[in-house]
Amino acid sequence: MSELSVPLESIRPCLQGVLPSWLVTCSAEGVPNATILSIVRYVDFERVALTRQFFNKTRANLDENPQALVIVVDPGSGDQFALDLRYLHTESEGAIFDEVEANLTAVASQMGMSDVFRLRGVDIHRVLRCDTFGETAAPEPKRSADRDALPVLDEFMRRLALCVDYADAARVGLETLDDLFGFAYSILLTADERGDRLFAVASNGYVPSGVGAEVPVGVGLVGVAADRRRVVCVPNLARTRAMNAAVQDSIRRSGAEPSGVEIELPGLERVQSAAAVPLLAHGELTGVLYLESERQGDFSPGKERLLRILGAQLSATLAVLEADRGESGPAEPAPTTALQGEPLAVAYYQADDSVFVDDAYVVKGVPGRIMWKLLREHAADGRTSFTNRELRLDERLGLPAGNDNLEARLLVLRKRLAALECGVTVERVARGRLSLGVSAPLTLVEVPTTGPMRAAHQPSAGG
Amino acid sequence: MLDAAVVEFIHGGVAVGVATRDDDLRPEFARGWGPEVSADGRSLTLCVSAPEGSRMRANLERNGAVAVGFSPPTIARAVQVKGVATLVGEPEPADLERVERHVRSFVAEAERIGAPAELSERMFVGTGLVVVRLSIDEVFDQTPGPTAGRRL
Repeated sequence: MSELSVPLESIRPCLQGVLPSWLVTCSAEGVPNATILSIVRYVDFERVALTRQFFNKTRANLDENPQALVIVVDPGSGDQFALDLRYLHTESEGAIFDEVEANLTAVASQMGMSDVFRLRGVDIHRVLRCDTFGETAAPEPKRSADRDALPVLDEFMRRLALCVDYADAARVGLETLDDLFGFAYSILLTADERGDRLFAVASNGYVPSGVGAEVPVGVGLVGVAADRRRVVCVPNLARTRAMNAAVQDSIRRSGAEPSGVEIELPGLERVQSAAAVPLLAHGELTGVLYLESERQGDFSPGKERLLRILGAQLSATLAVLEADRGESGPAEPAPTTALQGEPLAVAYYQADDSVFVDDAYVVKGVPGRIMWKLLREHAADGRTSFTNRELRLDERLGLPAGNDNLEARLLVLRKRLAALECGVTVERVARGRLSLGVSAPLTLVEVPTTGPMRAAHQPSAGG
Repeated sequence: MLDAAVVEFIHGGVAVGVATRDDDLRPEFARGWGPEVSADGRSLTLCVSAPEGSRMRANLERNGAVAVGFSPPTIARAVQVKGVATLVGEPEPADLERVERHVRSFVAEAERIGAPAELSERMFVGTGLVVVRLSIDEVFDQTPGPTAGRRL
């Protein structure tokens, strides 16, 4: 195999599906065919993969005459390259197929078109010639971008290593992605212990933060990345809709009404590219790191390796801090002062463990149960100091043994309370210790459920 | 031969791809500019960069088999016309005016989905521009979906 005059490595930005490519073939009878396709993907120094979705005529032509020509465009510079191809075979399983398929599924889910777009296979072609096309000059050989990433990766790991707790690592991790890599919009989601949904525990760049928002596994970029345990990169989202629309749609299709009080996942109005990185620890999915950009091409498949490394480092740090069962010695009890003013009306709904303060929705699920426990104990005896350990041991909270996500739950609760400024705060005061702050007397109302969750709220029969 | 909606689509700011082939059935490509469907809907005229000595020029003159694809920058829709070149020649001023108008509307369409103008403008190559007229023998709907490839 002779070397290509323009090496494929040097045009990798063109081979990431940002801009559509023209593909031309010819039948055995000599009738040419021109079609446009969204993904020409780099396989190795002499092969590319083309998605086979609907190219009925192209398919027939390639079976008769394996010669093809594809024009690819660099999304940054507009440089164009012509690749003479020879069709080798079609793969409908394996690493390349799985990678392309996960990406297409994610985009289709985001667009609400999961039923329409189905990847039938990826066509593997040998590149016989790669030349500049149009008025493009030959590309300059570039330094390896991977080598340039080492100093920033080193700094990323250094900053994470200094984090003292889960909340700190979540904040520092996202801020550092912005500082060092220019990923200005990010959301960290944690997997629910039931394994069917993810909830946002921290975000960077968005107002409001969206902490507490939920995403079902399998829906949209975040949900598909979680489901497939694969990095999903979409370098051109201009043709898709916002993440949230996809989630709302899926809820509607499932027959339920999206609840008005629930928290929306934030999203850029002018999002142009996005990536979702599954976070794994102990061989299990622990969450997803979701990134968005207002520029096209920011999250191209060429970034997958970097994103996997960043995700692995972040999830390892979070897993270590989440598993921390240590506890500092008790602090000096704060002097209690009698609370003055209008009482805060707190309502707790057993049906979904949602908590409202003065009619403002705070949180539901496990964080809701935790908040209710803290407030009830405070109302009973004025307690303000609590430990993670007693939360873990409280069976009414229903935290699973082992990986209980308690730190992530507490982070959601703390951030929701801080954002609402509702007169109730929860602070982490020391390792494994929490402090509840209440600015006025409380009136607590527990609203019983008649629904299927009723049994869970019955006092235990004893024994 | 072509219905009015398809003609309107072809005359909009769509990307135009022209495919030809040589005697060995090796495909060749050029971008097309300023497409115009004749009033009777039986022929299509457009300009392509096909300098003397290029593969594109040789193909057009030797066998004339042409396929022209049309798709907006969103690639949400696509139409393809197939036929045989009946004329390859120097563009007239009217052809060049159409080319200029098309480049402008193509750049504007691409900008609407976030592609910067200076990038889309680079798609246009003005050297060796020839005007090509081809018969419209077949028209296909290539819009992504299960019906892709349907004859119109």
